[in-house]
Amino acid sequence: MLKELVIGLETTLKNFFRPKVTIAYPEEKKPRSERFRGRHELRRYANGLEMCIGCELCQVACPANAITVQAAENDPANPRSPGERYAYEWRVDLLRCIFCGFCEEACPTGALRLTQEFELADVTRQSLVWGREKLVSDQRTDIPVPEAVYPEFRGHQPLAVIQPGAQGRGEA
Amino acid sequence: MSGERVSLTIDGRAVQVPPGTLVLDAARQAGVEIPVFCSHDQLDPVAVCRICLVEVEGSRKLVPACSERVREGMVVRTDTPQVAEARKSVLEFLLINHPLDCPVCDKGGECDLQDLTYQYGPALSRLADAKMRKPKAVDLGPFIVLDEERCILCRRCTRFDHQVAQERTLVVGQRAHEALITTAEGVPYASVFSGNTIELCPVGALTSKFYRFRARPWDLVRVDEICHGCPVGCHIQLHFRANVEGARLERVVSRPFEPIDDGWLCDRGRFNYGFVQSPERIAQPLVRPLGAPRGTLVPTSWEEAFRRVVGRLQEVLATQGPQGVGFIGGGRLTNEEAYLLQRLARQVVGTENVDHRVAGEAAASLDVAPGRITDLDRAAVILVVGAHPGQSAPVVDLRIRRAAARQGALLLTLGPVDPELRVPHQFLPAAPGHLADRLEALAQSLAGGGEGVPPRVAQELHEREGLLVALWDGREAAAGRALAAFLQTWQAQGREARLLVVGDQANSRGAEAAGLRPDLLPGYRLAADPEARRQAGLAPEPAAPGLSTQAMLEHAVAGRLGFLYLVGANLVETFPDRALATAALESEAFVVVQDLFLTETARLADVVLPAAPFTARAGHLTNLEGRVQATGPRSTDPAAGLPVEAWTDGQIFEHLGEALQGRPLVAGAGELATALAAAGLGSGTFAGALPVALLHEASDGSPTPSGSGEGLVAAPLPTIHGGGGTSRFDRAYGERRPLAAVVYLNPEDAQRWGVVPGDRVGLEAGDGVVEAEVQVTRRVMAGVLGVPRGVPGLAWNRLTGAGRVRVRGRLLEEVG
Ligand code: SF4
Ligand code: SF4
Ligand code: SF4
Ligand code: SF4
Ligand code: FES
Repeated sequence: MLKELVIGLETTLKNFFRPKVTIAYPEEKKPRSERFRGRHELRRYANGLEMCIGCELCQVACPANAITVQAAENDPANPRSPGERYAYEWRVDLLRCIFCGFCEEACPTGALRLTQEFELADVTRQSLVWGREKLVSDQRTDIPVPEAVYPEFRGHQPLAVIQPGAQGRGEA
Repeated sequence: MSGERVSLTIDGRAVQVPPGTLVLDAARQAGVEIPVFCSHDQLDPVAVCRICLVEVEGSRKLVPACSERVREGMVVRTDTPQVAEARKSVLEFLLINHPLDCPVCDKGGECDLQDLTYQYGPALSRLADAKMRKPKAVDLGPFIVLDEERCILCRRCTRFDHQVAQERTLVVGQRAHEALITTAEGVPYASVFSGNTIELCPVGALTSKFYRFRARPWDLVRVDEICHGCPVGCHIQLHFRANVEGARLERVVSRPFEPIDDGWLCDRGRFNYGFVQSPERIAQPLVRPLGAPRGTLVPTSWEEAFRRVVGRLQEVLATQGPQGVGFIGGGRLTNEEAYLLQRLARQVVGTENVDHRVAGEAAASLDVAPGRITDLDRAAVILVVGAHPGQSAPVVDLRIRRAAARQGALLLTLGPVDPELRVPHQFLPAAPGHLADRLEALAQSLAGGGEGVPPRVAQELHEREGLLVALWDGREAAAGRALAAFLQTWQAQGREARLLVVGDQANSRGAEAAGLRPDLLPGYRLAADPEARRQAGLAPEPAAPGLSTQAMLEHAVAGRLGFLYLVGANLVETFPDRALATAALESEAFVVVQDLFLTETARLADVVLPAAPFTARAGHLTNLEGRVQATGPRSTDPAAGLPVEAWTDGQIFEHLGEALQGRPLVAGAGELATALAAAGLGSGTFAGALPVALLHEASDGSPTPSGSGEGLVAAPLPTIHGGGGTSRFDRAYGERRPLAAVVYLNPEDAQRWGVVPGDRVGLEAGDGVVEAEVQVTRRVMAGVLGVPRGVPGLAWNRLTGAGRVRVRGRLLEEVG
């Protein structure tokens, strides 16, 4: 009986002096791998324009049907992104998302990136549907606009003229 | 297709095809796929893109399969390394200047260039230079954006414009690398068929302004439909984007059906769809509060609205009897709904006062020499009587253009205004109300007499062997009778004749066949025929003979008709006598209007019931040749995203029927289908036609100004982009095709009244002055004022309802 006690204490003592693995979350966070897939982010070019062109490829790539994209035509005087097209709605339902990263991989411009951020808990469904206002980053990257891909264009038609009533309904 | 056959082998498979077949088509028949860009079934081959190169034994070079005709014993190979290399090289060349902006291109996902590059193309380009820069987003016309960089110069668009539309507006400008698609003389590409080039373009160079960036092909739910724009009944497909809130109708594309449309659509059918989701749709039933003046309407519930309608209907039945109730409209309903409406009127209410004719036409069909649209293809003579096919049956007009320009048909037009036909033709002027005289003269000329027929026409009519196809707009009963007589004379000479009647509304013909006429029961049986009445379950004798639209309005004004029910009928806008229509609506009668929009007619109603658009209903439509076509499955009311509580017209009739008689209008879908089949409206069949004996002046609402006197006679002209409902309340569409308040005068009259083109004049009608701009054209005969219908701000029916019109000088001098 004494023998068992000694073995037990030995284990305790051994572990007592080992380095601790428990992390004092939330004060301290576990390091994540570089390829960690957290919530989405839509990046900007070095000149501040959005990189997303509203092509919907992320939407169609998503196996969880979590993404909704609706595009419209840029106003050449005040463009949101280079070229003709931008996403006036870009929304992801983080409750549906399985963080597979397919969307990031489908994105032809590299606009979409899954960040390291994983603390997404909340108490309502709606608050976990993130739209442009939360996803479009306010930081610029150092990626220059690929000038060869996006020439000048004209012939702009504001969204409201093309389909009256659409803007109010779709904006998220 | 019997007769000789040519045998050849393609990739080792033996095929036999008629001589003259293209290698491409023979390959298709053999099940061998050959890629194409410039080739198209409906266009003459040009062989400019070279993607279809194949190897033919005995020929030194590769040959284009799209222009090479088959020869006996030919050996064709498409599976050799040379062919694969040729395809690869052609694609590499096509991509040298192609921007490859597939992610932002509307065509991406349904693009031939994309598909064929994946299938046959090279992965890399070897060209060291940068791509050429050309204009992006060029505003080509009202509905089309052109991206010059994406164009691969296959010339399908210009060939369509030359060969099919016969218009020659689109051309290839510049040379070599700089070549681009443009319009001759810089005018906008404003053809009514412009939208077809969007579908023809194998790449994303031509895109629709409405669809631009709205969806990707994989987003779309596709529903087969029949176009509700006009009585041609082209086959269309509705594309809804369903993966956003509500189901949004994003575009309309063609669904080629050779007997009617050959795969073409007009711009009205293709682009006038936004109305179904217009924020201006009536969102819920409206009633006029008791004691409030006309024009005051407040929202209410469906129950309350029905209570008001049923309550008032029963009151009127008690005081005035069934003769005091009238139903007008139905040319926009499906056959099923039209049948339900006439059943509601005849069986439940017991009145014969039903009429679908809202625009003063006499008939939507005629029982002489019933024709088919395809008859135009083999016509030797085409006679257009009163009709303006380019405006009211546009896709039929394409066949007329083809027959006249490419098959040498003699094209004659007869009426007060020469329709705008883009092909050579002979105009035989005939004053409004006198079309019959002109037709009688034509008939006499067949027999050798005929005063006033130009000798060249008389001679041609005498000599031309073969088929004569007449196109009539259903106006002026006398003209219809004279036309029937003319066709019979033609037939008596051993020649074939056919008649097509262009109805006023999309389903006028179905409404007529379903019994929405005071003198007809369903299936063209006489309303006065006791046997037919017995079979329809009606009393052997009508309580009183039915009233036509005009008579109903007159009775309402006189206080003898206390209940007027209008179904999709904007009478203030469409009835040729605006004063009468307005007076009837402002009379003591209780007016119920069932419509999508608050039109000028609906505003005067006592109860307005919001109807659902065509996308929300299933049923059948009858086109101008009588073809009964299923309108596709009930898809959705895209206004679902908006707070709209609309019912389909059929649902409203069924509810009213049940409320009035305590049991359903028809026992079920089976009984309805049987009843319609008995009326000759079985699915996939051809409907009957109106007996000539029923063409009476009494039913003809178009008043013909009598006497000679000073002044002009107004002749209404249909306007493809006009109308009082679906086009006016489709803002985006309306803005792209703005309609000007313009009237047309003959140069002689312009001189007599002292006006020059561009003047704004006052037109003195019976009840005041209508203002409009004048255009001078020889298309209008002397003494006639051409007035377009359905143009906002131009009350055409104040001019037609008012006898002779006097032109009151210039109103404003244009300065500068
Ligand atoms: S990470 Fe995967 S599941 Fe999440 S939005 Fe992207 S594609 Fe969809
Ligand atoms: S995030 Fe990327 S893939 Fe998604 S719409 Fe924008 S550009 Fe296209
Ligand atoms: S615009 Fe389209 S259809 Fe016309 S030539 Fe260019 S690629 Fe062909
Ligand atoms: S011709 Fe008539 S049926 Fe055909 S697309 Fe045009 S409006 Fe529709
Ligand atoms: S398809 Fe034959 S050359 Fe274009």
